[in-house]
Amino acid sequence: MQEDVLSIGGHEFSSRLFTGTGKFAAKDWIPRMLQGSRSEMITVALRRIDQGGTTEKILDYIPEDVVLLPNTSGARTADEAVRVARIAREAGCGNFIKIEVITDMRYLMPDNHETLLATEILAKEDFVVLPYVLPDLTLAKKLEEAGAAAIMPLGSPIGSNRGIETKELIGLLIEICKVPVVVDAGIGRPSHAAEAMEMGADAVLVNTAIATAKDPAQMGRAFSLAVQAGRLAYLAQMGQQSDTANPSSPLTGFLGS
Amino acid sequence: MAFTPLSIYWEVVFFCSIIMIMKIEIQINGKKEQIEKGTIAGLVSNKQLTVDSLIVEYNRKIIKQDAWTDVTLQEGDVLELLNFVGGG
Repeated sequence: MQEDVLSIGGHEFSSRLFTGTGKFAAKDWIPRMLQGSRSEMITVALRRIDQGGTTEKILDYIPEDVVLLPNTSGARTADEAVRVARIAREAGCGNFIKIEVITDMRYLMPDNHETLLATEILAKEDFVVLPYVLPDLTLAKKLEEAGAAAIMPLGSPIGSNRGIETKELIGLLIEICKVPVVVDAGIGRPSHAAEAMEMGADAVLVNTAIATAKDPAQMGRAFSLAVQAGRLAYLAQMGQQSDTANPSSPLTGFLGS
Repeated sequence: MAFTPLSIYWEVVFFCSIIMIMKIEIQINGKKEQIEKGTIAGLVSNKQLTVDSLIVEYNRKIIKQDAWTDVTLQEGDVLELLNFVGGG
């Protein structure tokens, strides 16, 4: 059987679980989580330093064979996102960029319009662009045309752990989009990740649910298994659902008949 | 040499002027700051910043660490001192 790899931006991923570096109680959980989850791509953020304190050496905790996915969190406009992306690449983080443009601070809803503008600019500059968006099919098609390498629709608000509340809309993206669909945000437990993968998502990105677990390494492994299970189930093509029972055993030849 | 109150006054004015000449005002991470004239390397050293993970954006251009000694800060420059942090 051919190995089931996911190709994004010329890079092949054996693991369909992408992870994040936020919210860990201690940074040294990050390499242990990566070992447990076998995740091959991880997000980082860019911030001003705390001049009174020390700089965070987050990259020191990430093994070299793991692809860095810097995000543009903090950006409120396309221009700001573009600026962060350029800095991240110049600073040696590679070509991958997760575009995150947010102005709504209560629900952290992405600004789809600004995200599209940023995607258009950055794709032309040969970035591997992964835009974080509200699942909107029309927008997803425009993102594809603009050169997005994948589409990252949210399942539910960032850090909410509420699961795939946008299931129907993500389903449309999975059906129509030619580029990979990576469900990002809101995935709170392994069963949510499995659900996304069973639906046919190409990958999931999980940060909060893993990082805030008491044992992030073990939770990383749990998510890894769930993603694999969901993916295998999708590839195996699940049977039909029905409203009434369909006996699994023959209805003839009973002993008492 | 007699120190009259007036000459002390002028000496103070003189030394203050020299200090003023040596200092420049630039913007660091969104805030205006008076700093000593010098290079990016000098500023980083004066501020005792951890250098290995520090990213410096100078007037919207990234300056790599090996070029920090080549850039002399000028009045009105805009500097961003950045680093990568945990994020999702």
